[in-house]
Amino acid sequence: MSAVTKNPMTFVMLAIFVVMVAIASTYPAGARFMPFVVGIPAIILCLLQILLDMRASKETAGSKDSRSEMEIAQERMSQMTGRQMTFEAANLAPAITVSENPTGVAESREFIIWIYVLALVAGILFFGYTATIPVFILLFLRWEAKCSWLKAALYSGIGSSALLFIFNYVLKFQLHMGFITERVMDFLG
Amino acid sequence: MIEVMFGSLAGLLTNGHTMGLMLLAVMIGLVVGATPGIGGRLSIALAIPFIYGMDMTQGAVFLLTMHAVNGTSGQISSIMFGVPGDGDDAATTVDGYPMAKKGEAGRALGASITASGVGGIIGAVVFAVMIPVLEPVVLAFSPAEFFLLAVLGITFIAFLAGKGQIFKGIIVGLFGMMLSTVGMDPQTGTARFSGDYLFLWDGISTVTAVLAVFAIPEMIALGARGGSIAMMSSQNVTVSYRQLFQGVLEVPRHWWLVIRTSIIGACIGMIPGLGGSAAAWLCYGHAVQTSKTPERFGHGAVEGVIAPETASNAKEGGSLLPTLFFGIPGSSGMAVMMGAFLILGIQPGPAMMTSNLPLVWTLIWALVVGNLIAVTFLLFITRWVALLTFVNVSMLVPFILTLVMVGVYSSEGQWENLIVLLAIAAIGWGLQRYDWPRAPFVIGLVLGKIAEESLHKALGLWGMSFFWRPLSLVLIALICATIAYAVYANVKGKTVMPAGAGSGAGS
Amino acid sequence: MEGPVMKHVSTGALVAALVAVSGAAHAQADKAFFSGKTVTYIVATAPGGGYDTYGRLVAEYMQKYLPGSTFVVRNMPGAGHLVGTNALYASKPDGLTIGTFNTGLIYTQLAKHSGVKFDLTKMSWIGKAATDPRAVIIATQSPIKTWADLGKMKDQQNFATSGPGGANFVETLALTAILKLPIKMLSGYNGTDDQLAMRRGEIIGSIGSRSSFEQFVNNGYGRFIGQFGGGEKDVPQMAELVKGNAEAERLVRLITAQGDIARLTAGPPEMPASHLAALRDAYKQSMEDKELQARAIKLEKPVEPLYGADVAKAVAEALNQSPEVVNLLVEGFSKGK
Repeated sequence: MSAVTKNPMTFVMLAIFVVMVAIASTYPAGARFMPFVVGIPAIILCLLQILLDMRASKETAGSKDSRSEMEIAQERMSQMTGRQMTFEAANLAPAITVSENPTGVAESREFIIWIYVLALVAGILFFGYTATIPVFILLFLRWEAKCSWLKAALYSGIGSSALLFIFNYVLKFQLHMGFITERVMDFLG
Repeated sequence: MIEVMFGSLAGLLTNGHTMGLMLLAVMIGLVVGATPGIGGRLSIALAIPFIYGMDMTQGAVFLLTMHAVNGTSGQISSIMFGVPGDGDDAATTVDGYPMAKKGEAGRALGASITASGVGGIIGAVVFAVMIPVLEPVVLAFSPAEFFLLAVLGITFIAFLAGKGQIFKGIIVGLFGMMLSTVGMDPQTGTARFSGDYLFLWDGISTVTAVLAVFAIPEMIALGARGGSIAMMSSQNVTVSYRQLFQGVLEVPRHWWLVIRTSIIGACIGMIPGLGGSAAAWLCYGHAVQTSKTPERFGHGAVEGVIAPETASNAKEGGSLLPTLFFGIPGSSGMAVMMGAFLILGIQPGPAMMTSNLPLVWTLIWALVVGNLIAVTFLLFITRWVALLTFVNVSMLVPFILTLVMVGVYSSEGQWENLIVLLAIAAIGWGLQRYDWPRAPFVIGLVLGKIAEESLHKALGLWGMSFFWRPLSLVLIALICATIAYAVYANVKGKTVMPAGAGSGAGS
Repeated sequence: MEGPVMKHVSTGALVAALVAVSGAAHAQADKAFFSGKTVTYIVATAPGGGYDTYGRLVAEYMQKYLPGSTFVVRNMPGAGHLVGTNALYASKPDGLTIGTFNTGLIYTQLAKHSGVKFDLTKMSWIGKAATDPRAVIIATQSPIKTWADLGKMKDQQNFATSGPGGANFVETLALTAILKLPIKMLSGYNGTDDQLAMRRGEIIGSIGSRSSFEQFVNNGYGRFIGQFGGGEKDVPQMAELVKGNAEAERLVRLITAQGDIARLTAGPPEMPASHLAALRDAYKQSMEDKELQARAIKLEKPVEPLYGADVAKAVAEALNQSPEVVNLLVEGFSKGK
């Protein structure tokens, strides 16, 4: 159903509440009170919202947006990049002359950034802050900001040193060492 | 009385050593406060070894200033990068960050910093004024009233959802409340939703949740989009002192709002037990509710920046009251402060009023002067700091992500929070991607806990009849009025515009 | 003591503790080992607050008396000191990790709580710094002036407690049950919530550490009607007040032990004897340091230290309780279910 693909969040939220209420029902009376008071109305609202979504998608499926596809694309490009954009049609067949990526690529960009985030967390968990942060900043600056290796290393170095200085010397706060790094340090004695 | 008041001020300003300490405290407090996750508690705990030998007044001034200023610098990352330092700052992010995206970071910061300073000063004034009536006011608020105040705050969620999005707003708010039930239940000792995971027994860390819902999705959107935070062509870079000054002037322009939110903030601070970000969010909701054009909120309304900032800073002054005069800390930060006061030889209690009034006044003045110093300093450096919003995001994102990761860990010292961060961030990203409001989540998370604990206590004390207490009835009437107005406003369309309409990447 | 009932600490554990006592007493203190090393001092609470401040104080002075060492305080809050204590117990027993936590975990271990992943009798005890007796506080406006008055009240008296599993919850529950007191327990009162509630008149009394209520009583808002141990003479001892009731006496001894072993410092089990001896020496020297003593007075009260072996013995004794008391504790942890 297009309602699902257009508004998956409603289903996600519904699923979350159903699961949590189910778990809560195994708790004694005093403990499950609040989760029920919160969860059951939430489930009802999610269902109502799904109905609303379905009605909305029926309406847009019926009516055609009167603007041309190019005008729609133009507006979305402008929104996404913050730059006013006009597309020129060389002939009747719409051809986008601005060399921007079509909308589909925006999603894969987000996916890439997610990978960075996941890698950062994984790195910190296994190798600790001290080892991961400088490498992460360096690689991100190089691959995403297209910095030269030298510049990336410089910024990364300054940033990491400042951070580690504040935590290790000023605050005397031990940042997570990383599971693997811990084993290695133990091994080295 | 007047001589004591101004005598203390003179004493404060003319003592070079004290002023020097205050300056130092302001610097430390600002730096510590600017980093997400590191709270006031740690900075005071670290300062304690140094205060053992200090003179009572100087030590107290030092600590108080450091603590008070701590809350002021968190707004920098909230406004510029959409990365709140804690629950309080999240309220500032909702309107502050959209202002930065419009290229108005300078104005936003000017307004928020000034608002913070003014709020802190008014908070100190409220503190001074309320001393005689403190006792009856604080004692009037029982768990019953806390519960209803929490519910009142929660109903503000209805205002923060866009037109036609009221269900989504409430669902997100309920999600926040649901997450607040994670952990050891106060009534039966059941470990809800946490099983054997001891790190969850105290609940989901607010810092982690807030960063997960706001900061991470913003970074992902930014990283994907490219360009700079301020979505405008770089020819328009005019972060001059003029823009900053414009922001500063917003505060006197909205003077009535400033006074109201400061007083509300101070009063909330005064009542032990209603701490946390309740003040910031209640006042944000209040600003939305009392505005003639609420549809601007969520998209860069400067009132949305001013209200929470005045409130959270005024709260600091307010929370000093019960700490000094009752020996009962007004907030968790004050609890640590009280320990430090004891070390310095200050004995909190009603005797403070009679035997140590000069010290009390010195502390009040320290709050005022400290705030002024902090504001001046921050305004000065903002001009350069705001330029970062015009830098290419790919340069900024790795550093901001690093700060977020560090903040999540440093708030509780548990690596498991990083995983919690990812899990909640996934949901937060989904909410942002599909234009669901996110502000109600924090309200639900923070107030949900207070609501449940207070309800449980109130029922234990009075059973269901607690609703009939006079103050309770007043609050119930307020809640009903708020809900009625919310429904009316939503139906009429006089509400916050849904995220995504008009300014591209949501709020 | 109580005769042949010794079911809850195996004889083996007691013997092991005694052997460790004699072992460590004879070991040579190896202070040189610590030179150039970092010792992590775990505090099972968030920064600020009594345990943290005291822990940092102890760490600072132990560093002084272990030349060349660096002490770093690590806060590991969570689950009522369980997170930090579990971590401490599981850490590498080389002497480079020690820490402090709430003595109330004695109750938690006795009740065989699922979150407990340690055995207090096996820890390497370094010392304890203070005595913080538990006491019963009654709000001023109540007609109850003495312990006897409490027993005579017709209506249920509201007592504030933290929550199932919390120290004062367990203590209040156990006392109420054994002595059939007219007490209604209200939970959810953490930190100083109970003091405010007493001022508002919602709560009549509470059981808590004497030091946390000292200010409150001095300001005239409450009075102590009974105390569990401690050297102060102005309040009657609970041991005297419950004389004649054997079960109550046992309970009082347990609660007294809790207050006696305050501000403790311990390390994971099976630490090399020479390292433990060095830590104990440094601890003793810290406690005898005039500066630390002065600071401790500023913090809360004068130090009343007990060292190494003696603390181990006290802990082993405290964990040696009758099945009746243990049942009450178990109930205290699962109440409300």
